[in-house]
Amino acid sequence: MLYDRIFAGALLVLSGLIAWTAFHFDVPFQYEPLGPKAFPIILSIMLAACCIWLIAKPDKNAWHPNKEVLTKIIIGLIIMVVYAALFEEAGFIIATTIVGAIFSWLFGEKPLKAFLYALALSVISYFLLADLMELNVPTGLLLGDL
Amino acid sequence: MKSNIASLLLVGGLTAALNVSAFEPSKPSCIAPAKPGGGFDLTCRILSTGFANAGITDIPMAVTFMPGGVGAVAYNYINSSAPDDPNKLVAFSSGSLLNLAQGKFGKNLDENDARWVGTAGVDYGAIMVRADAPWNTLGELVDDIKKDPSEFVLGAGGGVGSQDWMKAAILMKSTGVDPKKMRYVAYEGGGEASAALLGGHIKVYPGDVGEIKGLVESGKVKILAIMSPERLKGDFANYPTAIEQGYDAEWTILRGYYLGPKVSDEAYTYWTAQFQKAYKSPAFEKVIVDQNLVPFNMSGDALDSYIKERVAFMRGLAQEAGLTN
Amino acid sequence: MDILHYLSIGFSVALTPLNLGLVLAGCFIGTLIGSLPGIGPINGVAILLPLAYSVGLPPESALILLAGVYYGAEYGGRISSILLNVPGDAGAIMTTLDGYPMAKRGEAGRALALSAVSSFFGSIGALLLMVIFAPLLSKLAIQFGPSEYVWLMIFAFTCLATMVGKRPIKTVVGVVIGLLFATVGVDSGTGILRFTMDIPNLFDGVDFLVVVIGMFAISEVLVLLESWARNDLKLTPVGKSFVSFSDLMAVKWVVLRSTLSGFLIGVLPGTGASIASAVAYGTEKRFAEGHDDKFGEGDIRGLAAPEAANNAAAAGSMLPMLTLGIPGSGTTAILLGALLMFNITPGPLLFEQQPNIAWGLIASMFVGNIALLVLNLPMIGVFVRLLSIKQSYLVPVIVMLTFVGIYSIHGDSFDLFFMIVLGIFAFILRKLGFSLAPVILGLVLGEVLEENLRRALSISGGDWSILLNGTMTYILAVATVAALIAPKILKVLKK
Repeated sequence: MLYDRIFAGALLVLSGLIAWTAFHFDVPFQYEPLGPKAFPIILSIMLAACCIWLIAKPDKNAWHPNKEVLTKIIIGLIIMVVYAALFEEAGFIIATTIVGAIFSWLFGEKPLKAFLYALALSVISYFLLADLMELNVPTGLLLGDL
Repeated sequence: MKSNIASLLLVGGLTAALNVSAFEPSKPSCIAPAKPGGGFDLTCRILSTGFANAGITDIPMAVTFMPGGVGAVAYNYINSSAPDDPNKLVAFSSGSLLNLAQGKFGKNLDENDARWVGTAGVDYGAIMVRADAPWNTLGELVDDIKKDPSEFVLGAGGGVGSQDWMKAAILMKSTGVDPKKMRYVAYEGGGEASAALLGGHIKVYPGDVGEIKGLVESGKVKILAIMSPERLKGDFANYPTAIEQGYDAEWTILRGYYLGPKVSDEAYTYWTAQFQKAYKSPAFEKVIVDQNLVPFNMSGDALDSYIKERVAFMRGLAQEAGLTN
Repeated sequence: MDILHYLSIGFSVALTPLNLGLVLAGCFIGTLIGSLPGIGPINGVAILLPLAYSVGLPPESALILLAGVYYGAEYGGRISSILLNVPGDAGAIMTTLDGYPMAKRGEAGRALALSAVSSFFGSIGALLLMVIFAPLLSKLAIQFGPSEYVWLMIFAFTCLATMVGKRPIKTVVGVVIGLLFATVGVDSGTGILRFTMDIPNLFDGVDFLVVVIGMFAISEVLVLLESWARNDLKLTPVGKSFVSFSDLMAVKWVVLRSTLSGFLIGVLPGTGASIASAVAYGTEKRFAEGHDDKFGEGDIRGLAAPEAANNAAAAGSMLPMLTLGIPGSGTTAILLGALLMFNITPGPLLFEQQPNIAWGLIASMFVGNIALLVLNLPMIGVFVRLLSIKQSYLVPVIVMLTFVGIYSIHGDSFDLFFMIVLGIFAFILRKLGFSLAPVILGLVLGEVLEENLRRALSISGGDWSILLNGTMTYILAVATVAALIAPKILKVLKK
């Protein structure tokens, strides 16, 4: 099965959904003939046409992931999702230490060294980003009362 | 719900009277529900600078940003994640109230899902045309519009249902023209709309008094009417209101702050008291006037019921205009 | 004479020790902030604004500091584009196309130096244009109505048509996806919600930075993971390359043209550095097509064009802000807010009533750009060394900065999850041979195109003839047609 066909097929379904949703927009009234519906509908038709073309004439698969590649990518993704979930709840320092350590380890660092690096990184960055640059960095559990 | 809040407030007021120091803010912040630089940012800065200058609080108030849907994101955030956080004040404007009235803040949220605590000030709509336009009074403009509404392009900084559109629609309605028949162009914000007016792409721009001072001073636009209930004082005292000219077109832009719906009465009373202190301070008033707003002092209970009345009024307007069912 | 007189007032303000120090500090801080992926000029200016206000600087000094940060951040934005393939901000997207390939073949130093020099000439050129033509241009900018914007967008799309890779259809798909992204959120005409799925975070549309950072940075991390798993992650060679005189000669016309087009696009309200750099890149590619087109593989012209253009646009966008009080970009909107905080109302009278502020700012931008060049060239060696940092140290930093940058925009975790979803999508696109730049450009151009087309039709009451109404629409229409057929004519002529 060619990836191009799968991808184009998915986009084709999506373009149908977009057109259907746009068609049912509930517009109280509008001051010009196009309104909010025309653009999305035209675009979804264009997308659908392109997808049909791609399904008819797909490229050969140029990507050949093996098991290890897929595992690494999926682990990476899971960690990022964990990071996003922990970021606000647990706070920047804890989340960054955990996630930074795993990433560092994923790229070949020894566990202890990875942990120490991530810990140093998160603490130093917290003060740089939150205190010096006054960015909106969540404090979370640690330092909650500071 | 309403009577509940009222009784809560009463009890709250009593407990606060008995025990004034029951609540102390820690790390208070003002959430500006927009990107930095806009009206909400200024609203929050009025609070942080104004309170500091007036010596109300020695704790500095941080300003954070939470853009999205004229306050929809912040309203949802406060309701879902921090309904009882007494240290988070959120800026709102009449634009937020208008969206609230149209159910655009989420289907389950209405004006009862916040505790309206204090105001920064008000601004008013102003009907502007280019300086070289042939009309000198609102009446002259209206006479021309009535001849053929489709020949008159109005433009402002928001789409159908926004505050800017409302100003145009109210003006049309007061002249007896169906707002659906006007020719209206939506721009992204007042800056783009005033550029379009100067460039001659639109003929009439119902803007806000506060943001047009520079334009008026430069002599490139003229104000035909101000949409305030009474004449303004100061720089704009020479301009007549729409009501004076016989058109019932009024639009007040209120800017203020709310707390989460489950914030304790102690905290609510504390903040109400702070606002009342601030309203007495000339330093606070100066900050408001510097931002081209008109002081409008209302806090606590009185504000809460005022807001509910306004939202109900806006809900009526939206229904009338065919925006909601 | 007048101009010289005012400029001398300006320089006498800009060259006071305090203001000179502030512009240097601003440029330095800006470069640092801009070089962090996801944290761009908007953050930089927003961070320093309260500081400048609370320290009690006089208005012109505060503005000079903030403008320095703005400039510095625009400068810094290209560093991560070139070194990491992650644009520091929206204006630096096109810089990745040829900058990153250069860094990969060991010419990071050359790329950084060349982009610094192009940026410098872009800014200085734009400033000169601004000083000479300010009154004229601010008049011209407001003449630009919805129909003219529609044509400008169509022109930009025809320039992009050159970006086609091996499969033109895949570029079209990318652009259409970007255009569809642009339709999410409150419809500016009718106020109804489109494709928001009742998520309030999407009411204002998909945030531009979330898309850029999600698609570039997150997918880049995934690509790095794949290369590591395949064991073909070689450290990029760190050559001691630097920009040469012949490089500069090779791009002199490119820089000149891009500065001019970038400045003009920047002057228009609502179009900024990202559109300017895309148009410049597309135009230069058109010029090179057919004979020596190596764009996308590390062509120095493909690097110089967007860099000159985005800096020229940054300068250009100051013009409507100062003369009309109309911000041309997100960052100038903050600068405008800053002016208002100091109780200065920008507008046509600013230049006459408060020349020390208006001209002091302009003069300090000259000083700032010289300072940036002087600061940046020696620092290139330091930046290049970033490439020799081990991946196990570098990747956690990239991930952390992306998350902090995106979180700090809205203060909401939703954006973090959304960014990851976009990253996965972008990774798939990359692996299937789609390029990402068309998606982003579709997003930028789409909104401007749709809004203005509908505005034009509201003005005319549905009459399409408004699109060809006025000299400027004709000029732009002719330019569009020329951009479409010029390469073919050139080919025929060469034979």
